[in-house]
Order: sequence, then C-alpha cells, then structure tokens
Amino acid sequence: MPWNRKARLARQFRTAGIAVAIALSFLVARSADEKELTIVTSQDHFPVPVQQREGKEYVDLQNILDSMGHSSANVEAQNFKLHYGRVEARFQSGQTEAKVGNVAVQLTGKFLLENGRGWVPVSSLAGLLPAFIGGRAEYHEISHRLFLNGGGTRFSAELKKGAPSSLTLSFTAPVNPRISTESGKLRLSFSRDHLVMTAQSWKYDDPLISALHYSEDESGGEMVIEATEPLLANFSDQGKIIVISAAPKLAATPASSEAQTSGGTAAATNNPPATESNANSPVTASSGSASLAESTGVPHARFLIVIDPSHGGSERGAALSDKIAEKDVTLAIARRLRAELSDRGQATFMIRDSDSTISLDQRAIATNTSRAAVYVAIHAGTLGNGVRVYTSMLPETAPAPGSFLPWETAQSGYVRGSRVLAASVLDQIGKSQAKLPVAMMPAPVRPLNNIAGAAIVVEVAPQRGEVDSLTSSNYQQMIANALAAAIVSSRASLEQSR
Amino acid sequence: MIPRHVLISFALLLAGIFVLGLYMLSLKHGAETTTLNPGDSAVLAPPGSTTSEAVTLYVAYDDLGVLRKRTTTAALPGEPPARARAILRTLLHEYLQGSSPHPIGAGSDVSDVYIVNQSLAVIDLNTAFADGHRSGVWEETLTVDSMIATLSANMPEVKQVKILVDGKERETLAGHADLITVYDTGVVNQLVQALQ
Repeated sequence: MPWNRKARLARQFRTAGIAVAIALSFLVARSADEKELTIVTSQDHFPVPVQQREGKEYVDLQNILDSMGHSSANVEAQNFKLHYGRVEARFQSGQTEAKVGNVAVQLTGKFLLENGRGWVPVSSLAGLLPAFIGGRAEYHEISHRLFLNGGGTRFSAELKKGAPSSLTLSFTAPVNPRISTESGKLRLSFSRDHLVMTAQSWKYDDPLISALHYSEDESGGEMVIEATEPLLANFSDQGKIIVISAAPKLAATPASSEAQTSGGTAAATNNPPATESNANSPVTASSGSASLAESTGVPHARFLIVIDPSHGGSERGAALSDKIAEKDVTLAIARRLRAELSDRGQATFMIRDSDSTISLDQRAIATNTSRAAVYVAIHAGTLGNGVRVYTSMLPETAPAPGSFLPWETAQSGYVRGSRVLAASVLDQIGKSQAKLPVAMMPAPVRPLNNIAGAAIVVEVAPQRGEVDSLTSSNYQQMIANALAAAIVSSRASLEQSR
Repeated sequence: MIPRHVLISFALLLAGIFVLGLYMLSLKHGAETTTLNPGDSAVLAPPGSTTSEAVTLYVAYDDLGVLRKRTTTAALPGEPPARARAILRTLLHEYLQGSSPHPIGAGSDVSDVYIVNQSLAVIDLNTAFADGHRSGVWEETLTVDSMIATLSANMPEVKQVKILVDGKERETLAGHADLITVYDTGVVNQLVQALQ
C-alpha cells in the first residue's frame, strides 16, 4: 500500500509539472505576441493592448475611452452605439465609416464587433479620438505612441558658438535618457521618456559639434550628436536642460619628461601624451547630472595617476564649517596635486575638474578603464590634525592572471602596491617642514575596493586643529607637494609590482 | 408561614454571597500588591527570556582617534537576533548620551538584526542613524568598526557583518564608509587592536 501511495504521489507531481509547463509556455507565447500602444496625454500615459485583425493592428476603442473617462455601449445586431460624455458615436460592423456626434469619420479599416466590444484600426485613432475628446491627436507609428492634446515632451536645440561651443537641449519636461558613446558620436536614448518630435536633423557649422539627428525606433526617441572631440552631458533644471560640451582634457604630460622619469627606457613616440591618444573618443556621463569620462574617453598612459577630488555637485561631503564644504577643499588640493605631478613630468587624470556630481562607481570605472597605475582620492575632515592615509581593508592576494576581476574585491591583488604608496606618503609628509601628524591604516572607504591599481585615500585634517587652515593655500600646497613627491618616489616600486 | 426549607435555602444563599464577597476582596488586594510601578513599563522582552549579563563594548573616542574596550551590563535575550540587537543598542545608548565621546544623530537606532547561517549578522539601521551621522572618513570608520567589534566580542560566532539602512542596501553611511561590502569580523578586529 505505501508503494501504491508513493506511485500515486509521483504521478500527481508529474501531472502538475506538465500543467505548469504548459501554462508557462502559453504565457510566454502569449506575451511574445502581445503588442501595446502607449497613449500619452498631458497628465498621464498608459498602455493599451493591440491585436492583429485582418492584417492590421486593432485596439478596443471602449478600453481607451474608459482609461480617460467613462463610456457605455449598446449593441444591436451589427450596430454598435458608444456614449462618451455627451458624445454619441455609431459604428457598424464591417463598415469603414463611423459617425461621432455630427461628424462622419473615415476609418482606415473595417470596424469589428467582437463579444460586444468595438475594435478599430490603430491608425484610425488620430482621426477618431479628437471627435470624442476634442483637441488633437498625433500617432507615431514607429514608436507605437499616440499623443493626445499636447501630451509628450518637446525639445529645442540651440548651439552656442564659442571656445569651446556647447549645444543646449531644452525639454518641456524632465527627461532621463540613457547615454552611450561611440567614435565621434554621443547617443541619447529616450526610451523612458515620451518625446513627441518627429525625425529631424540639424547641421552645424562648428568645429566641435557638426550635427544633431533625432529619430524614432520601437523603443522611443533617440538623439545622436556628432562631434570631433569627446563630449560630456551636463543636466540641469531638474533634467529639463542638457548641455552638451567638450569633455575636459587631462593634464598633458610632456613626452620627453615621461621618458626621463621612466629611466629613459621608453621612447617618446611609444608614450604619446594621453590627450592625443584619445582625441577622437567621446567622453560622456552615464546618467544624471554627471560630467565624467566613463569608459572610452579615459586616457591611457603607461603610468597614469588618477586624482579623485571626492564628492562634488549635489554631494557636498562633510560640512567642515558653516561656509566650507569638503567638496571644495578636495578639488582645490587635487588641482594643486595635478600641477605638482605635471611639473614632475607625470601623466595625470582628474576625475572631476568642476563642481559636478559623479557616483562612486563612475569614479572606479573611469580609473579602471584608464588602467591607472595610481589612484589617489582626496578627502577632508575636521577630526584630529594632519593627514590620514587609508588603504583597502581587503586581504592581500596575488594579482589575478585573467582579464576579469570581481568588482567588490578588485583591489585585492593591488593591496601591496597600495601599502607601498601609503608608506611613501607617510615618509614624505614626515619629511615636510611642518611636521604634520600623519597616520596610515586600512579603512572601509568607497570606492577603494573597486580599484584595480595602487589606491589610497588621503584625508586632510586641519593644521593644529584650525578648520580654516583647510582652505589655506600654504597648507594645501604643502600637502600637494608631499603627495606628489611620494607618488614619484614610489613609482619604481609600483611599476615593478604591476 | 414561610416553609422551613425556603428559609434554610435563603440562609445558605446569604452565607454564599458573604463568602464570595470576602474572596473577591482578597483577590483585589493581591492584584494591587503585584501591579507594576508605572516607571517600570520599559520592559523589552517577557520576563524569563532576558537576563542581565556583562557586555563588552568598543567605544569610539573622536578626540583620541581610538576605540576603547569597556564592560557594562545589559539585559540580553537568548535568541541570537534579539541578543545582537540588544548588544548594539547598548553601544548606541553610549553614543546618544550628552557626554558621548562619539556623538551620533538623535533617534539613531538598530531596527533589526538578522542572523544568517549562524555566522552572518545583517544589521538594519534606521534612517535617522544614517541621515544624522556626521560625514567624514574617520567619523564613519570609527562607527562601523566599533559596531562590528562590539558585536564580534559578544557573539564570537558572528564572522561576517552586513549593514543595511531602513531595510535597504546603501552605498555609504554618510558619504564615506562602505556599506556595500560584507565585513569580515577578523579583519575589523585586527584593525581595532591597532586602534586601542
């Protein structure tokens, strides 16, 4: 008996499994066939299902009207009477003409009556719906969108010529495009927004931005900006304005200096200035109000030092006093460090050189794609005195031989180099005339763990406990000097360990 | 003339009422003597599941930049998640005092602690904790390290710690300390040794 019960149970499980599989395959097949029309009004947007009938796309007319108000229908034989507000419409199954109120409307296909519901061709809606709701309608066949009564977002483009030029895109509502780049092009995809514009192109007689093309595909609108240099996109006015301008260039390193500092082993032609090596690759922000090289625009140099002035834009960092924000102090020190390193013939790249918001992941991506040898993040704080140097808390491992590294532990293989660099900073700051207190320790600071290269965070605390000293040019210069000296003195060790 | 059996029944009923009245008075008196003092209403767990025990805290001192070991007593439930939460709340209680050596924002609390596979503690902090925390590498590092070291000292079976804020993953505590990572208590304890 127990054996019979087991067999029965197994049979029941098998039957249930088959039923679930059939249901799933039905659902998948059904979802693949289903299409939607998005109706965009001035207040809202909503999808309605579209079905194929007689080789055309049809929608349930009452379904659309019910989404905007209340309708009722009467069916008598082949006649379909529809009431929406004070409007009465009459349709006849199989006919291509309808009467809405006193207006005769020509449909682009036969009216179909199925199970008490009236179906009309999608392409008829632009002429049919205004007769019910007033106003006007615009149907975009490619993107399957129907814009009613001013619904949708419009934009205008204005090129401001100058040195360098910039292209201002003004939208009637906030937008959130996906941004991508390819050689000589910046692409903005508006799949999440409902742009009502039709395909257009603008040509510009400008050395930087040569053209703007707008087109539509199934996913929505797409804008392509052609340029001769890397571009970046800055968002403002809560996403209603996008300013496209040239990406900031990295500090150029004299090729001869690079050759000298590397012991003369590399020929100058093999190590061109990083700015030149990337003259044609665009730079852009991945999303939001950022202004950072994400991948293709980041320079490559044999020993590139990435300087990261932490925070920026809407992310102010620590409030060092009522008037001093951490983001401003970090940028000031970073600029001094860049100048010091350039004077010493080092190739540098600044993660930001303006007050822009850049995510921690973007900072790490830019550093890793540039194959930076050194990453120095600058922070400022009010606790204690002097300088604190932090390295990752990850355990030290051998560098992975493959190309792929786990994002959260990318730093593991570079911890030794990071400690060498941190120790060098300690040494150089200890040698400085100011005799600043300096400490070194592991700490959980983002994005240290994500950096594939020697990486440190330098937190600058006030001199002698005076917060105002953080903005002192002497104090900032002294720290920049010590950091630059430390990086240069540890270069040989770091190059060996790479 | 009232029948005799009715009189006897009436007398018995009166006697019963009298006895029951006395019994009710004694019950009322007993209830009044066992009622809790209103000031004692902050009991967090049912009596019997909570015992007062020694708790090791690693308290951060901002001015010295150190973590100091301190022992106190607290009522700790037996269940690991509730126990972990009580331990961390004891630490936060220190930081919320007016004379705190490492002040944190008012209203900071540990909403919950989940113990996964007996070795991973997932600490869910409330929004007030993160939003009210001072921004700075050093300030945030001291907070994270002291919480992990305190939890590890009292619950050595906890080997990893993950911190959430309001039930969700958050990139940093207040712009610096990494809350994406899963902390290894052994690594943090080594660092804490150096910071003492």
